[in-house]
Amino acid sequence: MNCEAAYELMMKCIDNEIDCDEKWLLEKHLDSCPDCSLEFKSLRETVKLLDEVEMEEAPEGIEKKVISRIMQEDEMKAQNKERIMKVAACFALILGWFEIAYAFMYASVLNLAAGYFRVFIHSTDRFENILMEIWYAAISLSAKLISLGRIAELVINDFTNMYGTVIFAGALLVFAGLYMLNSVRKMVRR
Amino acid sequence: MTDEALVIKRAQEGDLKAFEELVVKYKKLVYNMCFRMLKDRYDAEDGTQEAFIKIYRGLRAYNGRSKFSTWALKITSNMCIDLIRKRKIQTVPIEDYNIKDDSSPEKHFIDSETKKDINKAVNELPEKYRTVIIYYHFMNLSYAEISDILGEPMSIVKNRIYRARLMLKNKFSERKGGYYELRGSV
Repeated sequence: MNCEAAYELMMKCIDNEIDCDEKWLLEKHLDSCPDCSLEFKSLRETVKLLDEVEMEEAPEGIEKKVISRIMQEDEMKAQNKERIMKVAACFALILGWFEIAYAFMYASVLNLAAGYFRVFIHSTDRFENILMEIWYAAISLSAKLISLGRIAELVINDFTNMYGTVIFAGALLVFAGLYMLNSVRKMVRR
Repeated sequence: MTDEALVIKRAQEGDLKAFEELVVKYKKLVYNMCFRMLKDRYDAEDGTQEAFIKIYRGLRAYNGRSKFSTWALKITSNMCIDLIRKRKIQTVPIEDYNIKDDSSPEKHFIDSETKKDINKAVNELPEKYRTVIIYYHFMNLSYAEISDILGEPMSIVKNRIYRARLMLKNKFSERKGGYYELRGSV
């Protein structure tokens, strides 16, 4: 066995990974090679010294510090989330208010019209008056229904509107892009 | 399921008490890696806290395929590398390593002078050799674990450790002259 191979076995021996045959081979080589023998001796001493260095103890109470920092971070995250939710709610409220006002606009216009209708065509005939009352009730009720329907529509459609707009914009972009590509291709051909 | 797997599972579900158990169990390893890489006690303490927070946040990604310690040390090692890059931590050699514990001499076989020498020699090694020596000899990690943490094949890790030992041996024989002879036979 040469010294190169012996070196490999020396390391194996130090790591306690050597088997009987290899150990025998190594011992045989060390007996015949004083250089390797000396090398092995000082190598083992070095490793022994290294292994005697102990690990340091971790600072006292570090686990408590870690846990309290995690809890602090979590709390801050929750606070931030709450803040964002509040801002979003305010925003939604303002937007929603506009939408509702818009929806009720129809209702109030219709109500107004019905009221004027009742005032202007005021008859002395009782039967006519009852008819007029029924007419007014029908118009104002329908106005209320329309505005309710309008609100429901707004709530349901807001989502679809949003996606619709996105898809529409996307299609427009793709169209414009393809159109431009095509014109560039035409120009290059010329 | 072993006890530890159970504790890890509870911690993964957000149980801080369970996570505290894990911190207690692995704080020594994580702290020593931080201390060795950052080379300063205060930085190491900060780093250890930081590393454990990172470990907690990433706990769901742990799938039990490797040992928990290996996985945790991998995160710690990456974090230390980031810290060194970011803060440009000055890497001054640790001279007073373990001196704190010298009040209990019966536990130690080597005197502080020799300890200083060992630390100095190890710190003088090129970074990649220093790291493997620290992991293998000071932190008692196996070749497989080191190869996992560093992301290098085991053969390369082994070779690096072998070469590092030779370098150290040469350094010791240079520095101490007949030191080995004084310590008696092997």
